[in-house]
Amino acid sequence: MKLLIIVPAYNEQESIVPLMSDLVSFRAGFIKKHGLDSLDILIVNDNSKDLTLSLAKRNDDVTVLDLPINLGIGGTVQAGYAFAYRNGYDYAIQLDGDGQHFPAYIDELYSEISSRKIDMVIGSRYLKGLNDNFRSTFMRRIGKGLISLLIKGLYKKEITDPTSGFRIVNKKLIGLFADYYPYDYPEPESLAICFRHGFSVGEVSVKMKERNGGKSSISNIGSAYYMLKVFIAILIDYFKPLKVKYDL
Amino acid sequence: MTCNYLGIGMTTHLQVFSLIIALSIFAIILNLIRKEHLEIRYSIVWLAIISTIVIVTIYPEIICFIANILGIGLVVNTLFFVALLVIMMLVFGLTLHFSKQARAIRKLTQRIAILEQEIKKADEPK
Repeated sequence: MKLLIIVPAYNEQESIVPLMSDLVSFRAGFIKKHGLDSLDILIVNDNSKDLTLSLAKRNDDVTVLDLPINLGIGGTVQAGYAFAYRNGYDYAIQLDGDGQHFPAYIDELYSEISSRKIDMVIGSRYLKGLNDNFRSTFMRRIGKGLISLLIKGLYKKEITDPTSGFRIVNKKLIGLFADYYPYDYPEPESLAICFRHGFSVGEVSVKMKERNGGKSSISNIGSAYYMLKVFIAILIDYFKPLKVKYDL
Repeated sequence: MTCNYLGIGMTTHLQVFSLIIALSIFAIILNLIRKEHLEIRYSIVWLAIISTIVIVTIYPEIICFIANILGIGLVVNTLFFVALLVIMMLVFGLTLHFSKQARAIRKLTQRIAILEQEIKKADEPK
């Protein structure tokens, strides 16, 4: 089993160094525990304006992709999936570069996806379990609720944290995402794409850190606009033809 | 053809003026194509528009004819209507075109980053 951790990073000079060392120290035990061939760490630098790239390059334990043009989160993550597809990885884990996702939960994600034989597992802040006192802004909770409701209405599937960027996908989805991935606010729409193509998605409960560097791509004021765009994207996605270019 | 209310008031003076401008633009476009600043496939539509302007300038009755067909009372409005329609189509065509290009640029950017990484890996001393 070859696993890849995809870390999209845009202006993350404060958080990237501790994140990389956390990932590297997590790696050894994880590989041994599950008897894996490898767990590679891929930092995808989205043309950062700060020191993110040079800090990442200084670390010999990680692989760095440097996008020559700023593509935004969707294009950055997709570059990671394209890399995973090209190099034949069995699973790809997506984990934000701002350090809000704890590497330790990769274990839970991997255990879930490998034992249940599903195509994607999301790390959820809203699933009952670890997060009974998780704080989030009112607007965001409403937003997530509405997106969950829309997905439930269209696909009859329950997802508690559709905007989570902490997830693991199997080889089939690596192939699909390498070819076809939404760009603007990709997490919820990529779920819709999975369901539309008949893939199965599960969730595990994870804790996330309050952000310790960088800036969220979604401000409180932008929440309503974000919601509208995501809603339209998911609705239109429902009527799109299936992508069959990738090989299953 | 009935066109009682012409309303475009095109004097010979204006016709000459319009022709000079149209033909100048035509010449500029041709020159830009010659110098390879403009690609032919993207300039054909502009040449067509300028040609139309030249024809309409010489035969302003065409506008009356279209006004009659569309049932537009004030003939000059036909001009605005048609011009707006053409401009909107042009702009929409551009939006379509750059959506396609944005996708191509994204794929290229990703591919470059991956190839660059592969080159670097191949260069590393084993």
